[in-house]
Amino acid sequence: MIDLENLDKEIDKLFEKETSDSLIKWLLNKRFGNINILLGNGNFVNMSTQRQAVFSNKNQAVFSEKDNYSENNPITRNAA
Amino acid sequence: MTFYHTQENRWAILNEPVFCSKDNAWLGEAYYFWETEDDANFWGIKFKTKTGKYDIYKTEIISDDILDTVFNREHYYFWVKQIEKAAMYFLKKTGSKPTLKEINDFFKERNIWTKIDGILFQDISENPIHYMVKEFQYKKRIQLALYNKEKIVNFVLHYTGKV
Repeated sequence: MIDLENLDKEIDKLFEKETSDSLIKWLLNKRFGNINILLGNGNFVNMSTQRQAVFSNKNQAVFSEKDNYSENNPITRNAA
Repeated sequence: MTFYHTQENRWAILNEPVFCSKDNAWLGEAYYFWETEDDANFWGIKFKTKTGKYDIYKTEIISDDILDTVFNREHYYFWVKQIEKAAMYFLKKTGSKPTLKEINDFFKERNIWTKIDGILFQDISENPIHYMVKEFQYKKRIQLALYNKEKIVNFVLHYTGKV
């Protein structure tokens, strides 16, 4: 007979112990193989807190603006 | 309980089932069996087509420790609770929704599902012979994912079918 109550408690304890790092690492390993070989065993670092690269362009592309559109664009031009 | 296992017909007769670790193994890495011969047969006709023949093996599974989410009400609600609990934790702590296979593999690797022998689960069959009434699939397609191979008794070739 399966002891459902005990199993339920064990699963609760399991998730209390698991951290974001341990779950992310497990999931990445499951989906992409053993990534620790490539990345090592350190903690995950949130990239948004890292310093921006010196030569990076801070201007953001605005794809909704119409000025990228041209009547003579070969893709939108009607066939002759 | 009697179960059926479908495999491609190749050069040798199997003396044990093939362990499934494919990505579409929805209950995780396990030995998979069909509850009914109909579904085992349909699986062979539809998906085991490479050699033109498929084998259906018949076996007994002797265990009191199968999580029966199909016929046991208590087990079913336990199962739903654990899956939703795991999905919630994964989403909250990783930002990514897990698949059912990932949850089951996680429970297995973290020694939770090692306390059960397997899971009986159901979905809806695509088998046209199960559509005997109009517009409603009334029949469950039931599968067993067995984690503990020791529970397999009398695994024998039942018959060979042609695609």
